[in-house]
Amino acid sequence: MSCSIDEPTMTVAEKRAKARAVHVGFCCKCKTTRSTIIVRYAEYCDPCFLIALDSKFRTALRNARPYRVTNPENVMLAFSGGSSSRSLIHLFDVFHSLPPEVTSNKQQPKIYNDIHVCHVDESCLFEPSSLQTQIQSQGQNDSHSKEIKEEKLDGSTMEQARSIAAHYNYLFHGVRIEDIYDPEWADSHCFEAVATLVTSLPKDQLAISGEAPELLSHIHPMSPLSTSSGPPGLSSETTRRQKMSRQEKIAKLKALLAACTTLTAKETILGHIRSSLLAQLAKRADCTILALGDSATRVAIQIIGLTAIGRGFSLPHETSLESNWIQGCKVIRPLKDCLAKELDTLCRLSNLEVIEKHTARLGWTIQSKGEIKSIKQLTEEFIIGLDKDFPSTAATVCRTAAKLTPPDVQYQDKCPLCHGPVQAGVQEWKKRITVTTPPSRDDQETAKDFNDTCCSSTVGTSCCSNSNRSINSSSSCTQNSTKSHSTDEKPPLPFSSLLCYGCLTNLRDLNLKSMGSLNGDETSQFELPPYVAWTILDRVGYKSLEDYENAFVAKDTDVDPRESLREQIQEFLIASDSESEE
Amino acid sequence: MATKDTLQIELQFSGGMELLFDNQKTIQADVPAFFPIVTKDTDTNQQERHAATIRDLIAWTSIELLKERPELFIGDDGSVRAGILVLINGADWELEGELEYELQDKDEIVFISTLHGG
Ligand SMILES: [Zn+2]
Ligand SMILES: [Zn+2]
Repeated sequence: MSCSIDEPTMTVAEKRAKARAVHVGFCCKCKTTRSTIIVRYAEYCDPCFLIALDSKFRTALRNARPYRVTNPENVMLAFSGGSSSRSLIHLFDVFHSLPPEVTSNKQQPKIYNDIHVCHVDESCLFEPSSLQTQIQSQGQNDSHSKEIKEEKLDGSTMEQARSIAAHYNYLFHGVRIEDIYDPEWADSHCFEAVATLVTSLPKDQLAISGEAPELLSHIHPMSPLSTSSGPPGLSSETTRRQKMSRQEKIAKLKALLAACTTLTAKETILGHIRSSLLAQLAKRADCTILALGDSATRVAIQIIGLTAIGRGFSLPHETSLESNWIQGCKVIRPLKDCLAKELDTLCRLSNLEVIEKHTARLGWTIQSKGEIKSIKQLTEEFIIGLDKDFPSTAATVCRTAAKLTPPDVQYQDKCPLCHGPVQAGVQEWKKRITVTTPPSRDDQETAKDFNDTCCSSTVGTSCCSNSNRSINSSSSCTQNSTKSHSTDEKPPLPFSSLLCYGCLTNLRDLNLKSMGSLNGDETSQFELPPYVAWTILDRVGYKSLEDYENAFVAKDTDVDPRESLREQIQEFLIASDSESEE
Repeated sequence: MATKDTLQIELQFSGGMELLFDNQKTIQADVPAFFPIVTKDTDTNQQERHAATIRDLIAWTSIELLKERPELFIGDDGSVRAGILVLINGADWELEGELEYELQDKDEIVFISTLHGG
């Protein structure tokens, strides 16, 4: 297909709209008013545009959830503060405010029961410099109460989001992005543990092997005695363990992002955290539907961007009009057919207040002379640039991806990091295309012959004897092996072997230096939030934190816990000794 | 033809655009009514000029008013960066001739950034 001036991808409706515009410069609907808006060849006046957009929304909503459904459900609207999700709230409100005569006449059952609005406040990750300008501009205004001032000073978006929801009388649920470290945002509702990662090989061997090592995880219960108490106003009713202070949570989140070496990895992980919070917010408010404000433009960007970062497998869940992937919560995207431009226009014409600065852009966290762009930002520019000259770009990309069918995977087998589907056989496939790492340290210990096993057995590239710096490496290698016996920590659980392909790929951008090592010489510089820790345990087969902890207390006496665990997790391990030792 | 040397133009910025203009949402600007015609030939008469268009306004705005990060406002082709919606007196500029639209006194030009998703 060539890039002719006439876009080959024009739909019948578009061609019709173009042909219908007999009087150039006049609205294609009423034909009497001068057009002020142009959307993919169709020209509208302001009132006709609003009517057209509203009916487009209704059609999408009906397709996402047929009106025939009898029992009304609660719906959660995810509101970021931007014009798309702002439009979502407005359109839902218009949709639900049927004129009384219609509702009474037709005896139509209620389609949605309660409408809730939720918001994730990402202000703790806003660029510091703009935060300062904000302080300057707010500096004069000191008449308000201290709390409100603090909210404003740190650039918080919570109160503005709350007031917008209140305007519609919708129930509001706000959460801060750093709250992902609170125990209640895991699937088990209260999971008081975090996870850290360790590399399966000592660090000096990693440098030589030059390939992605297997990562294992440790589950750390949160300490019962938290050092500092939370700031006033943030105290909670939870009494089981003292809650982490906001500063502690922010520090943990920042440490996790700091461990990512690329902007793409940072944005991707932040995206997982955001989605995880949204799903939990919906579930906790007893909403069986989570409505997202993704526009056609955004969905097109997602489709290309996610494919580029290796997330093609979960694409249907992350971009479709409706997805039933998340257990107990259907995700719908009723604005999927509306361009960002249309939604911006809606906000402008209907005077809808938006939160100007609402999504954390993490570019500032990367120290660099030049401007660094993530794959997402590059994709965004690509799609928007293309859309300028070929207005059907976004729609065409969306239409193409809509043909993808969701994979047949169980939600129980979800990826710990993104909660997306894990492609069956990822490990086998990955093994075929990559040189695997030698067996993990446990095998070598079992052989009780580390020196020999460690430094002569493997044909693989990663053993220290392979290196030119043989003296240094072999000495540290032996040392590490001996030491690992003395660690009293519980044996590690799998991690990288539980991941979906996209996350496995993304993890290559995690700084290995920021992780612990199996021998315990180094400690991890970051912690993965409770939802990740919980999913790891769940996938390995433990029902609770207690279940996991007790498993080792009981067996400690006679059997080596490493052995028993190893049996349990055998299927998850990427490299098994039988294959690499020839 | 207008005889005034400057045109009074109301510029509005939203959707995050205002951050590039010192957080000003509205700027009343006196924009030159004429701009010199740039030719490659240096010998030609420097006095030749044309009535100000949106193209001139964008260049002028980025020099005179823009506070930071011009790459977020102006593109390589002298137009606004892709993803910025421009309205001329309430109408999409695509309907008004885009870059070639000739500015009129008291025009209201709106720049809306559509880049921030969500
Ligand atoms: Zn009309
Ligand atoms: Zn994943």
